[in-house]
Amino acid sequence: MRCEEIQIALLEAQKYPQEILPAEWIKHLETCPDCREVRELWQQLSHFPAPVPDPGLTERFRKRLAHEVPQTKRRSPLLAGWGLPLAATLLLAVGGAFAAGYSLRPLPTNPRREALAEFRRGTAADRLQTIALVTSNRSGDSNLVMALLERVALDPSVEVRLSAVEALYIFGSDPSLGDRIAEALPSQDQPRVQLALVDLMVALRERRAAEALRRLVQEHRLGPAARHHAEARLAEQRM
Amino acid sequence: MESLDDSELMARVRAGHGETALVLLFERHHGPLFGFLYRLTGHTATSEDLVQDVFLRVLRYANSFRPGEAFRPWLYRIARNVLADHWARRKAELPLDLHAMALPAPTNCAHADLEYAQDQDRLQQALNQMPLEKRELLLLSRDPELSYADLATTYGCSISALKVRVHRAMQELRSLFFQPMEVR
Ligand SMILES: [Zn+2]
Repeated sequence: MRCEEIQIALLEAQKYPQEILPAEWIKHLETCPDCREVRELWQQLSHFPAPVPDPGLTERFRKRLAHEVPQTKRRSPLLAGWGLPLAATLLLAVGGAFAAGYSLRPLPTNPRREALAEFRRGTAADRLQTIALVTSNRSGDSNLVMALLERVALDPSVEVRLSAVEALYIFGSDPSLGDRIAEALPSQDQPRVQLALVDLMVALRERRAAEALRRLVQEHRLGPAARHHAEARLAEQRM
Repeated sequence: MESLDDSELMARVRAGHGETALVLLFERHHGPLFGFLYRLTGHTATSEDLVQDVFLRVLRYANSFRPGEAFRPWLYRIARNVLADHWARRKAELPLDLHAMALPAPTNCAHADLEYAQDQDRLQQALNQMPLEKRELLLLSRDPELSYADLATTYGCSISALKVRVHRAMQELRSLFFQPMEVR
């Protein structure tokens, strides 16, 4: 075994220190100072004392929660902050993509093409992951917008649909997005997704999106919950 | 409610009436999370604020938690985002206050204890010299409750790719830790 293989194997061993190393490794470690050093360092790291937080921290959190929650409840999380940073945060929460400048995520060699094919495959969890992955590379791409809209319209999982709506925030600068969402809204059969789409249209803060939304309301093309939601949002934003 | 597991508590949080459930999750997980944040920021008050920020985001983004999903990897995903925002706010990565990171002096100053404390100090200093993302990766890797499969999910890569990355970070730490002390 090469030293690198041993050292990578030691990664597993450092997690489960109670397990006994294979005899072959022990023999190698005895003769190889390099690998011994790595092992020693992992042991040091795992014994790194953990600083303990202040015992009153839970209580402080409880108070902060009581103080801040009424505010967050009043606003839809999607509207709590406008624009891309929030959308990015949402995606991060959904799938673990990374904020710009902090990216550790290696994208596949051809992320978009691979992911577009992936969009239809796997479990709902896989599709959520795909949406987060592909949009972490956030730049306008109409294929991607179409793929996301397809998920919004057709995916059997409501969670996947909602996550695709969230991902669309990334493409808020795409001028055709408002129209496309206005097209998608009336045929959406999931009330929660309809509401999320209304929020997205409002968040686009674009006159055309607002007009399209108002038209949908006037033409009675939205379900009652979505219509009520849209009216409230339009009034709120004075769009 | 104490008998519920993390995923069940999250189901309550998702359902929108889970403030007690959230506080329970906080109680269960904030200790190690604080340790992780402290090792990265080197600052007690900052880490205490960030821990709370993480759990407020748990509430806010509870809908993105998939039922039955392991809670801790998801929590650390949020923690990484909170950290990313924290660093972005601070714009540049300011040098860590090494003094603030110093470990409490050993109460019993036996030779072995002192040596141990010195090693730990040296280790923290070696970590401080590493790029943030590698430091973070190593600190997460040592957490026995996060498997490499969990971490691969968090970092969006395969397990083998993740291990190679951890291995490389380890090599860097090793060269920093074992390098002879600079004499001026
Ligand atoms: Zn070796």
